[in-house]
Amino acid sequence: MTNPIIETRNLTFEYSNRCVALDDVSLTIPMGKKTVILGSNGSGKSTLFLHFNGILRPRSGEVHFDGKAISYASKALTELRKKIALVLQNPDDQIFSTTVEEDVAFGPMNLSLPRGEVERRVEDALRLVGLEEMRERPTQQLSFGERKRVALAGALSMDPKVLIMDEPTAGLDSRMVRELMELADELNQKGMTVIMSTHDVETAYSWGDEIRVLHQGRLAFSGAPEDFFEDGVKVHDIGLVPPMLFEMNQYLVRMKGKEEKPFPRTTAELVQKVFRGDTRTIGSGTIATIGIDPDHKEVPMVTQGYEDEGRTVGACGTKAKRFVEEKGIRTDYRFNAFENSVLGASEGRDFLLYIDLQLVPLLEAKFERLERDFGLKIPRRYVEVK
Amino acid sequence: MEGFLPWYWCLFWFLVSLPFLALGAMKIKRIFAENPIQKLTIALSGAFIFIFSALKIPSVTGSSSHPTGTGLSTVLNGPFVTSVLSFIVLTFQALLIAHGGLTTLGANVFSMGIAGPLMAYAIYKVMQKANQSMAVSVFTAAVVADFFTYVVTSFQLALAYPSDGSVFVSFHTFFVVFAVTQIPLAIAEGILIVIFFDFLARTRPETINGKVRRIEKTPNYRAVYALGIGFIISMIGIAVILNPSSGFTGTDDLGGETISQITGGFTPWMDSLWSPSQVQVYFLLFVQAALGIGLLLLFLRKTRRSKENRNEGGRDVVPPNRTEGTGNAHIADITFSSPARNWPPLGKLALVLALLLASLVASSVYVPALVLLIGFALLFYSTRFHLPRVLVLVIVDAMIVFAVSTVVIAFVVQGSGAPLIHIEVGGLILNLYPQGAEIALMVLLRAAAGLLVMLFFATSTPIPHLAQALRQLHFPRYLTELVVLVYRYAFLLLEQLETMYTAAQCRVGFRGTRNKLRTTGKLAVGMFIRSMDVADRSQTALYCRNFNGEFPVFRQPAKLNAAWVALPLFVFSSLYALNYLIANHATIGL
Repeated sequence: MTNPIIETRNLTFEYSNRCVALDDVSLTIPMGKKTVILGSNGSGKSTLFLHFNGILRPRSGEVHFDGKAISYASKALTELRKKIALVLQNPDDQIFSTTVEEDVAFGPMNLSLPRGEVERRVEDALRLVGLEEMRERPTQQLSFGERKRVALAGALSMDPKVLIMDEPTAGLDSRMVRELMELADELNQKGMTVIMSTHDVETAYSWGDEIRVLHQGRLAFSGAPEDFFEDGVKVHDIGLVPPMLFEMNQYLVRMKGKEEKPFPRTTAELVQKVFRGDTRTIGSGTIATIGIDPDHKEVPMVTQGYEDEGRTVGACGTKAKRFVEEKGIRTDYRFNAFENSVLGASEGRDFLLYIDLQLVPLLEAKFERLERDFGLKIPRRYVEVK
Repeated sequence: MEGFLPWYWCLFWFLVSLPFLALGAMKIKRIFAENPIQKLTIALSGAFIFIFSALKIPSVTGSSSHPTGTGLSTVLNGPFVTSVLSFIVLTFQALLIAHGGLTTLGANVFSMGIAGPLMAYAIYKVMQKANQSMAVSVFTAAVVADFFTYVVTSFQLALAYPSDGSVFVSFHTFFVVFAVTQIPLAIAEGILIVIFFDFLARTRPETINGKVRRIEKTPNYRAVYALGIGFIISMIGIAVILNPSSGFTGTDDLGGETISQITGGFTPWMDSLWSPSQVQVYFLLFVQAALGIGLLLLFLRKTRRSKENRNEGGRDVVPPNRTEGTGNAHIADITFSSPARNWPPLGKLALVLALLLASLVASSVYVPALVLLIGFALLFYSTRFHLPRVLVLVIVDAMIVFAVSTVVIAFVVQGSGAPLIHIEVGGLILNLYPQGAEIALMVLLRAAAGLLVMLFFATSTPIPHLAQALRQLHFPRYLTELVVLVYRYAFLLLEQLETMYTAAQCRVGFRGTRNKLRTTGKLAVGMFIRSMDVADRSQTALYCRNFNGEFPVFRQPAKLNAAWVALPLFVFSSLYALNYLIANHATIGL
């Protein structure tokens, strides 16, 4: 297991109205992973986050960052909040400035960074969340989803090592939830530790490497998602319902005698587990991938041929999405492209995926997992772009 | 309103207010250094004053009546802090919604931010010493803060427009006119604040610790109502006693005789209205109250409409074209698409002041008329020749108030010679003299010019730019921070109000007059309480992003340069010269 980047030891906190929010919580957040803090409303998730970046001081116990107990001196706190960015649940609490770019620039300006650096960070952050066109818009004119993205951009512009998102999917439509998850994957792939709180078990299960479960201010579980949901009674007592993918797997085990492992984490994996070996339903489509390097200004010539073959086209990653948009490439899936391509390929359709070059290892890991654990072989090749 | 006070009175009230503001600024500095958490309460009280005092109700005196909202801040933060808050709020109103006026700022700050709160604080302290309950003390403080403000405003107007050289008679006239709208408003405000404090004591005791004697029982509303009724009776009593012509028979003639001896003052127009015909008083009271409630509802509906419009604009996937987008936008949004947005804010402010002062010191009506034209041109340029509907509303609204008040001034000012128009309605004698017409025209032109010039500034300068300009002037940091916070929280309060208004409407909260009034009261209280939580969370979010007490501006507004210093000076001097030329050729002037 990797080193913990954040660790709490016997953390206890109560609010001034004597309501105990955290009770003896000792947990670790592994570095460079995706951790989900799961818990019902009022379980202490937000309070915990406010301890991570030193906004709240524990009544007793300690918070460690990068192996050292955090100091509450103001300079040390500035350093800490530079490395840990927190996105609040309600964007209206966070957005303070009158225009989009002003708000995104707020954090970096507070760090007194040089002008050019602030410009670059604002630009990058807005591009990541796809709001570069709206940089001069007044914030109160934006829709809820857009404001949520502004809030996220405001945190990203701090260039943090750890990104904490409090209920990031609450109130978003499915497309935005997917896009957000893909963005979180992308950031994580670049080395950022991503922490997210949610009470949505589906998201927790399919996205998190690790989960920590809070219940009434206490740590109820810490480990891999499957291990938590295995204990159905406990899950129920905490007031949660196991994810559907997980439950389907349980019934496959009980009623069809399938092996419990591997646990399917996506629809594609579940489909594969259920219908594997069924030649009527499982076809063999192919997936071709084009890596997009941000330096490429031209549309790679080779794509023309693939489109003609009638491939379904998808884009993964912010750069690839931007690329297809700018070049006017016909794209069928602009979000959830990987999942759709795997499902489609197993039905016999051929796919072409544009993907950020940096995300290729992530994609490869997903293919490997499908191949190794679920026996799904999809003929695929990378198209070299010169 | 702009143009309603002669320039020397404007200056006088500025100077009188200065020491109080300095005291308040020092107090705020100390609070910010010692107890940063109290920033929130202070800034929110400021926002509360902003919202409350923007609920204006036109009054015949040409100014307008509105709740002041200063009582809350006086009890929570003390009178001097309230003076500074009122100064900030009144500046916002002048710059943001062209309401209240920039030249009359000193006078307004004195009445609303200094005299009212000081009086309220004194009375509040006495009540606390006398072991009165929280409810009674807070109620009295709020009512006094509101009402005394208008006593002082009447006094200020009386000093500027004495009737036959008698400030007393004139004061009485203005006072009676204001009292009609202000007594009910003051009491409504007092009741709201009692409900609010009761809630605060239960949910956020830390905010009022040490400031209010906490008595562990629910407020005695009956006592509050009794106090309110007592207050009305005593005020009416005072008004009757103060009435210089009461107790005499044939008061009309008596008053009329005195007046006719001296020209240029006020006729006892109100006296004749007051003493012989009680029916007319009740009628006036009724009309004013109806007007007030109507305007309150109109205001609420207006804010809701603009919310709807905003949503339509905001949900567009493709950003709407800028110039088209201003069609039905908020005034704050308009500023961001104004071509004059990138002009240096300080330069714009200097230009606006130059124009206002030139029209104020001018003795010829041609100068304000010219300023009016300049104001039109600037406003049209600032809004790209598209006058958004919200601005049209503001202008029409203000023009109605101006028109009513100038007609009153026209008939009130006595002149020599034969009246142009003579009207007699049920004991009410109205004469229009040429002098009255001249003064009225002057006031009307000045006020209209002031409005347009201020609207130009409002439509081209986002408040954050102004804050940045303050920083360039080396304005104290804590005050700049307070300015930004008050501005932000004012919008926060409005957003809360909109949300709650819709929610209340969903549950038929506005069915029937009784429900309407009850719901409106609950909205005002709920607005503040809910905003407190939002402000709390917003504060947390600021600290998450390394907030250190300063609000940096990413896209800096242009800095003041030599040209922008020269322009206002040039404008003022040429207008002044023009006035001089016209005055020396009396045949041209009116």
